Amino acid sequence: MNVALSNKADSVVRKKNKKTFISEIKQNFYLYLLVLPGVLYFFIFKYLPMVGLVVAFQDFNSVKGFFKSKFVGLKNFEYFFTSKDWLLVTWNTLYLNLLFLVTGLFFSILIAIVLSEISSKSFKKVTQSIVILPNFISWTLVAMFVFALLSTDVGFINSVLKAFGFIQEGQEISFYSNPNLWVGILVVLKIWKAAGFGSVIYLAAIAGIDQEIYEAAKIDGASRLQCITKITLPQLRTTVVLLTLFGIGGIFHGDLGMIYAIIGDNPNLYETTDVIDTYVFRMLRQMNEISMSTAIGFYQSFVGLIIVYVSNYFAKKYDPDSAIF
Amino acid sequence: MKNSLENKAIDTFSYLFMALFSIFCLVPFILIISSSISDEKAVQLTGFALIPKEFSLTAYEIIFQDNTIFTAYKTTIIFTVVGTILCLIITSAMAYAISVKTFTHRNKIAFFVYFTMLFSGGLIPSYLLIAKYLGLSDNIMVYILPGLVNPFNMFLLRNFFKQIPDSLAESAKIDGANDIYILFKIILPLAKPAMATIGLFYGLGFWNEWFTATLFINDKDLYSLQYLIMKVLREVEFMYQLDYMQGATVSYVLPQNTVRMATAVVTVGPIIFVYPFLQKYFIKGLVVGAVKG
Amino acid sequence: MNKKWIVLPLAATLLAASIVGCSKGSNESSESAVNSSGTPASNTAESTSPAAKKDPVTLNIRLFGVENGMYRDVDPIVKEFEKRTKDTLNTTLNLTFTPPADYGAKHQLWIASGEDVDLFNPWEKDKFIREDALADLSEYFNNPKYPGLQKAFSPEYINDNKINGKTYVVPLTNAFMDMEGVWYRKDLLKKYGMNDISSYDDLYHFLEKVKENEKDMIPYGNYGNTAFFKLFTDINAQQLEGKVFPFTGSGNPKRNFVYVQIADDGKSVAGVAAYGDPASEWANFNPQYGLNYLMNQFNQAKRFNKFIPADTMTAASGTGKPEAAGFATIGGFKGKVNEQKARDPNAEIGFWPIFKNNQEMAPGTQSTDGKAWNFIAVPASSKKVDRAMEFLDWIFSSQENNDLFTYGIEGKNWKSIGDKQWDIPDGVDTTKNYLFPAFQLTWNPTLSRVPAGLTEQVQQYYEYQFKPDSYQKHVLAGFTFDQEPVKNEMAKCNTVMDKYLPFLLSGFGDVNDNLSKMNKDLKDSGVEKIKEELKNQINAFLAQKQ
Repeated sequence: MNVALSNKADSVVRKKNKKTFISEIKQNFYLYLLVLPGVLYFFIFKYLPMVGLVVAFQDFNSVKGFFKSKFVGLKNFEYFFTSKDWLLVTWNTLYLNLLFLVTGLFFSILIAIVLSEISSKSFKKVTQSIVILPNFISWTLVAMFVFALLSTDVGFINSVLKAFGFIQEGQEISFYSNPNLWVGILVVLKIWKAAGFGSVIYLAAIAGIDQEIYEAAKIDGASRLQCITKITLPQLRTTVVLLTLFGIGGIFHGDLGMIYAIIGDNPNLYETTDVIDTYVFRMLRQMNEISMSTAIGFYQSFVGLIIVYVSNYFAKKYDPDSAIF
Repeated sequence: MKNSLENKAIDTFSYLFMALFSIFCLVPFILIISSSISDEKAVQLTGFALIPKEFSLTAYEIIFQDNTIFTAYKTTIIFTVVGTILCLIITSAMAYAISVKTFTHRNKIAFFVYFTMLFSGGLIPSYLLIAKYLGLSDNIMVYILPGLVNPFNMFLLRNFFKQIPDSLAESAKIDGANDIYILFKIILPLAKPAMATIGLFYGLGFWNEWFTATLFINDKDLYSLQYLIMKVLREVEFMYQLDYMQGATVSYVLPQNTVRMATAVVTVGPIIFVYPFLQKYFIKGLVVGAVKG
Repeated sequence: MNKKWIVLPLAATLLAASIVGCSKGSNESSESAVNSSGTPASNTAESTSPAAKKDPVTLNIRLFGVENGMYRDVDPIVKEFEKRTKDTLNTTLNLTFTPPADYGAKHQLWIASGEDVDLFNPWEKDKFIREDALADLSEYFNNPKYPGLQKAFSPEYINDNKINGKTYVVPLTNAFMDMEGVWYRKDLLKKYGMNDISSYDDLYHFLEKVKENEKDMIPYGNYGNTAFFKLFTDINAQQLEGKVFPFTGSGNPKRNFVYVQIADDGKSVAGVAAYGDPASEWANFNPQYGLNYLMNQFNQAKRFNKFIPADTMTAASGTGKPEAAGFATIGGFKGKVNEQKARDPNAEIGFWPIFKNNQEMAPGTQSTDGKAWNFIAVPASSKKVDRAMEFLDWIFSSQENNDLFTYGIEGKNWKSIGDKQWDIPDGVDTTKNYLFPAFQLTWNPTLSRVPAGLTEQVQQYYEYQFKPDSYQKHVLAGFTFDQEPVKNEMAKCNTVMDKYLPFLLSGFGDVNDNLSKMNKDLKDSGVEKIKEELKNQINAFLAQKQ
């Protein structure tokens, strides 16, 4: 139904394209009026400062500024792409972000659906308020708790294992020197922190579904599970696709705030947890080279843009409603 | 028979899952609250505990001793409320316009907006623009203007608008209504869950604002709450070293950890208080027919 | 960058500690400044600016600081300054503080946007100078028109702190070291019937006893991945006796990966070797301070490794098990004592300087390049350079003027004891008293005071570090490695250091295995180019010196 509608819309659009600019504005005058403040905002506050992107290709001098600093071509990208571990950290970034994305989507949707299936109003309200709480706890605090839980000397887990006699003194699990455990730990932490809050979007989407559809389905004898799979999930599709596309756009950007707070400078764990952002951060923190850091940020965004462009193309092809642009 | 078994299974799973996940989320928060009202020394020696050890309100006294905190509350509430309203109006206007399928350039505008999610010019040009050319330093509008439309929120809202059947707008158009009228009188009342969600996101964004203050605010009366709280936390962290500087004898353990916990409580507290009022919008289902009629 | 924001204020405060807490030595300093000028201190301001009243001006001064942590109640002092100089300098001060965590990014923005700033602390001084962002202040020093500056900044002091042959930054410091050592629980030491620690073996035996007897204690407690930091090194002997120089962290082992040997005649580079290089590369090195010295450092770390917390590699500060020993500087020592006493009232703390020359307090053995650790500068865009320098001239023209910003109003915020000591008057609440980060504006070797009432041992250490003849210039004094030509290689080597040095410095894993892996990664990251560049720059420096 959706496809048919938009095809019709597209053909209308094509016809209109032949009209002049003036008549186009006349035609959609009020829509242009509505969109104008937003467009102006993006132009002034987002596009004007984009002149700053040139520093990625300059030997930037803050006194000379963006227009007079010397251009150096792709020199600022060299240090990263000739470094030893750039492939490893790129892989880690992709891998971790993909895991975060998929598990995040899954648990946010699960929470939203489960909540909408709960009939007790008070239980629903209270638990829903509780699961958004972790979103407001900073990664610094989270790191403190993680350490209190996992450390070898004073960690809760090791103390419990010792108290019950599962391990002896000296046999403690050394979480902080075992890189293989940390992909799982980071994923669990991310779910814990973000899934509850992320479910708000899906809850709102579910709340936006016309109740009459459910009523009608029930009269037709649909079971609850059928209602979930045949009505609720399909209605969430556009939101899921949109959020996935956003996630894909940012897939080359590692979560510096999270990973640096939790892993810190522990080289034991770099193998699995070092991402582009933490790696570049360590490369440049002694140097303060704006040009060199901007260059890698540019690379991350640029690759993100290409991937999103392709993904968006396919999204548009199969479900035009959920594409970004 | 099959249905009732299925019902039971879904109910059991739902309640069990939410109960467990809630505990999973609640325990660390109880640890935070309990540590924030404990004595620092006890926390340092024995770690975090669910029940406060050696009850002490020192951490809160330190946070609230600075009487500018009430000014900061006032400032923050003002720009949160004004900012959220402004953002909602401009965002919904934009989102609605590009959700209309007959709007020729909607996808170009969408790309124009999305591009800013990936690329930004960095700190220096933004600073030049806002401080030097727009002169917004030490002006409360600096909290609001640079974040007027969040692309993420805009796209979410657009998608919600897309879910609303086109027939509603079309019939209004035939009756001679313009797009502005349609947006405010027909679409927005139907999009309450979405508006509540976006409003929540904007509101939280403003409430947690600190970075703007570090760059553009020197006037103490215009500090945001988060910035002030961060300032208090830094002061406590530095008091360790102050001790070095003055060579004075401090006979107590400085409450570094407990203050950090207390700041988390002070920040989240009001959110928990306001949240239930918004919650009803996205927990209750919507009946389009009722609005239509 | 974040790390730097954390480290800098720390270093700064430690520095602050050393100034406020010390400097008996300057008593004996021959320059004995202030009162020898023959002018009564109170008149100095007038006498330096005979040209009567100047046009009114406002100076924008931007320092870094956290309220109540580094500064407090500064307004009355600024008012007092303005009152005292109304008829002469006629200058009002717009003094603002930025939290250290934001200062680095913000001072960059001020420069980029050409903001109206007249005095500030340039953290990235080399970069700013490269960009022509700082005003050349050379003409204001050794200039009779600025007698305060002339008196307080000796030609040698100014010379040592020139960059590219010019004075772009005004050096601020009181001493050229903050004595490094190990603090330890003396009460436990006594309990085990042991004598004061005076060697690494003593320390080892003490920590062994702690490990055996105190089940709930961490024997040697330094969190963060630096565990032993400067232990097992002796930078002073290495530089002065061995003429061996670690790069690029010099005193900070966490950032060293190359050693440079200067020839005995001091005229050229005799050898450059990266960590893990084969013995042949080290052949020209002084046998005592080359490869053996390095291997000893890592092997000792390995030997002591069992005393540190297992998870020391993760920067989390840990849930505080009590510790029996750790790294400290003399400036931070008093704070350490207070911290330990607050945790355990029975604690008694001892201090053992880790460098041999410090233990012996031998004269002329402290290696230095004469550089200060803090600087104040004027942006090139400032239109009030003269007035800013006149203000600095006023600050350094007399002890009285200097004291005003450093300690506040005499009798109210502080009292002077004798000539060169200070104390807080009875009845003054130290949690409300004036506080100022003097290390950013007023520090000078000729104008310092010691706090009253220090223990004798600590006083001796302070005396040592404030005595000019404790120091000796090393052969590379005045040389700065310009990393610009090899910045790509440096960026890459930074990650190699971060990957292996924590293991080597904390004694985790196999030393040889880590060294050979590190060496391979260094080679892949272009260390040979850095070695070559280093060699060329140093040779050029040494040639031009003669």
